[in-house]
Amino acid sequence: MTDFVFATAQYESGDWDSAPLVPSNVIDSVARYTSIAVAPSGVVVPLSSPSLFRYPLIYLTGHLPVRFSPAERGNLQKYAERGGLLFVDDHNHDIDGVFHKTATEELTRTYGAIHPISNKHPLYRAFFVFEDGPPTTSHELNGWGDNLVHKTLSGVERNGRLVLLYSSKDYSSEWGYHPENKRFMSVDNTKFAVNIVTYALTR
Amino acid sequence: MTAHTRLLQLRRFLQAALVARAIFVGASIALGLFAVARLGGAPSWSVVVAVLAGLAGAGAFLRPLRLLRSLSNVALWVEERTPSLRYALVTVADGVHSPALEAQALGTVWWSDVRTIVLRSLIKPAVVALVVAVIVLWNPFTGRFLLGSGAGAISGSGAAAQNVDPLAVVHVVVTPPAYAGKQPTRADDPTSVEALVGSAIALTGDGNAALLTATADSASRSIAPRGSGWSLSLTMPARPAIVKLHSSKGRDRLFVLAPIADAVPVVTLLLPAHDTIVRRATGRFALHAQVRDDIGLRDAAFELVISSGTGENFTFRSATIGHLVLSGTIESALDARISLDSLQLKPGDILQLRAVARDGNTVNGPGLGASETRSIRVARADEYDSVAVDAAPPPDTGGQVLSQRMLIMLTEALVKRQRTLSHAVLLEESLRIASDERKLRKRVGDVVFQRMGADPLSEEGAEDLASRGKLTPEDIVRLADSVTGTAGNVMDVEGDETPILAINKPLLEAFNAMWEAGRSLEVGEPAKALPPMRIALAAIEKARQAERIYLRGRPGTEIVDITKVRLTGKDKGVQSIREVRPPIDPVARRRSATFERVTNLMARDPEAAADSLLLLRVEALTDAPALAAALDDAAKALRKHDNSAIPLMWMRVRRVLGDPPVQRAGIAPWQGGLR
Repeated sequence: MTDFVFATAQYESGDWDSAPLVPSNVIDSVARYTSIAVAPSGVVVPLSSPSLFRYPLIYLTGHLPVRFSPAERGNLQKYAERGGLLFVDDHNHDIDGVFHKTATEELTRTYGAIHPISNKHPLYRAFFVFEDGPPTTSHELNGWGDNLVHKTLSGVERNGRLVLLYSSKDYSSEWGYHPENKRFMSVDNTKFAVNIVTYALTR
Repeated sequence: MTAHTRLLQLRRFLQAALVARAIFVGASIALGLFAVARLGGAPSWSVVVAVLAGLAGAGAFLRPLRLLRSLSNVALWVEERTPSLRYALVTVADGVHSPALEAQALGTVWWSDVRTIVLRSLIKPAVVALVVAVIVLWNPFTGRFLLGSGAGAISGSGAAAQNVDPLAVVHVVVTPPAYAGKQPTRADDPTSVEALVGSAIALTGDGNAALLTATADSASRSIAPRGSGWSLSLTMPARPAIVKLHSSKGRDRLFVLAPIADAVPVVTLLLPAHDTIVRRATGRFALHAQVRDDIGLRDAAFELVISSGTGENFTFRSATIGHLVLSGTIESALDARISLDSLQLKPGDILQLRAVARDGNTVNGPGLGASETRSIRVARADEYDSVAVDAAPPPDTGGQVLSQRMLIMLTEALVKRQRTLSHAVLLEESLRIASDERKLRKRVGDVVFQRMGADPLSEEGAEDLASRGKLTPEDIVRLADSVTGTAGNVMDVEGDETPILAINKPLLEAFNAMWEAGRSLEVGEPAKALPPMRIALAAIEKARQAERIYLRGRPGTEIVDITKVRLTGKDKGVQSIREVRPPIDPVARRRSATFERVTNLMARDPEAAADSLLLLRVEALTDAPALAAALDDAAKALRKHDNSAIPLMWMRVRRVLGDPPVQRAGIAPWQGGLR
């Protein structure tokens, strides 16, 4: 069995590398709370590359408009058919923002209609239990972006499991710090990342 | 009016009354027997018996008509009811005419009284006939009319309609939605109805509508009588559905409603052909796109999104240009021109553009199609060394600079040939290399000065710099200070080495090594020039690597110490509720199992097997169109009892399902011939 490798999606449009500290932070949390064999550093994988299929979870974020090329779209469709989970997070945390508008449009073209996920979804019990659904981010509480606290995440399911998880909550900012700094936090805010990884590996 | 004339009028009235009474009686008998036969479940020939009995009864009541041939009988019938006439009327009827007799026969007003009597005698048979007719038309046990609605139901065709199987032949007329502009289509006995979403579907057939019930996706639908038959009106839903017609004669028919989705327009952006990075946002360029739709386009346009900013702060502008109304055209070209000057783009701004088109779908649309997006980015000044920019004009050959590595190679070659060359030739070639070394040294000086915020050194400055010879770091900073006048602020830091010196140290080292190499070359001693040239090369390499610690697109790799942090978290997760992923697609597995059951059912009940295939088809239409098409063909073959096609269709379904072909004894063997 190979180690789990956290993969960040590189797409041709937009600023795909806007959250460079998130991968190491998620990797740290996976190691901190679980016995999952995890690689010590993440990788960057182009969405149009066949190497996409080597990773069960792909993380995609950015601020700028997202437009997939035909190769990227086709690869993502195959990725969904093969059971991969694409986690997309809006780094603008703004539903009127251009990332949200363009990314949801492109993802709908690729995956079909995106629907809100119930807060009782198994994702919220995959490792830690989140009774109220997705944890709120400090950006939502501070009223940045769209000044909304998003009650649910969205996504697309195939054959009873998520193949797309879409967040407007800006976890990319919430988790964008060096993992060494977790010791200064009273509550680790990256625990939900462990659920996403665990869900992708076990469902 | 004479008495004889009045007698003739009365005879015609009596004849009409007798015929009317016979009709009432005959109809009562026939309808009564028919009602009894229907309620008792009698066979169809009982209708004929009822009609014959009615005719016989009517005939029996027409027998008195022969008595009315004689006018004397009519006169006697009147005399019997009017004794005061004292046989005067009978005498007139016998042909005796006299004024006295005429006066006696008309002395009493008998003609109105006898008409009243005749009319009263018709009331009872008329009421009886009416009651029986109501009983026949309205069945109090079922609450329904036995012969449909309308008084004309009790007719030959109405009786025949009772005996027609309403599901024997089902006609389907599909009328596409208005925006499609297509003609209605008709089909008989289809297993599936494939049409655009929103199409009007009319199912019709012969037979009694009261015998039919209909459901569409488990919701009941009303069936309307239509002449001697029935009709059911539906609208093609957005998702596949099953329509079930149930006849009280015990027969069911299933129809699959397979919606055809109106495809979104296909938009191809042809110009600009690729993404571009420009130094300055100026000039005009053409936009060209091709748009196409399967039914008809409504309009098309180019969309622009301009994003500005860096890091967390971005602003966006959007606009639409080149809007074109297409009014149902299938295919069209879209053209526009755009001026970059008018967009007022700044360095770092990104212009993203694409073509979009809407179709004319008024049912569940409009469908929106979009092309690939092209981006035009305005480069920042500080990224000229790392991004591809538009092709620049050819460089000035006199200004080209050989690399330090190349200069070393030239010098080494000159050293090898040194013994074979005269001093003059050696000096000439050595001076040529020295000149190139001087140009390269000037370029290094430019880089250092640009970092300090100043313009590159002018030619005079370069000559001045070259003439200064070897510089200390302090000399360089002083030079920069004299050019910018601001470097002093940057230098106000503590410690032995300022940041501006630290970052420029390798280049300063290269600058000085080049000066030493140049001196040796200028006096014709290339061998002495080689060591400082190599030092300069190493310093340049060091500077190049130092500056590219972090480039956009290649974030720094953070290595997590897994061993150190493993299971140090205080919070514990729940592991027992995790589930193992199923090894294969459960939907495909379930469909294969269902198809196996249908195969087993086929030999016992082909109709039920065909219905099961249609139910499976409805489910497959959403995500497995190839399987849905194969199931439809299999159901058609099964309903037609086409023994030659059934095994082939079964094999096709299995191939689509991914199951290996299986030979079964249950499948009907080839019986020869084609239907």
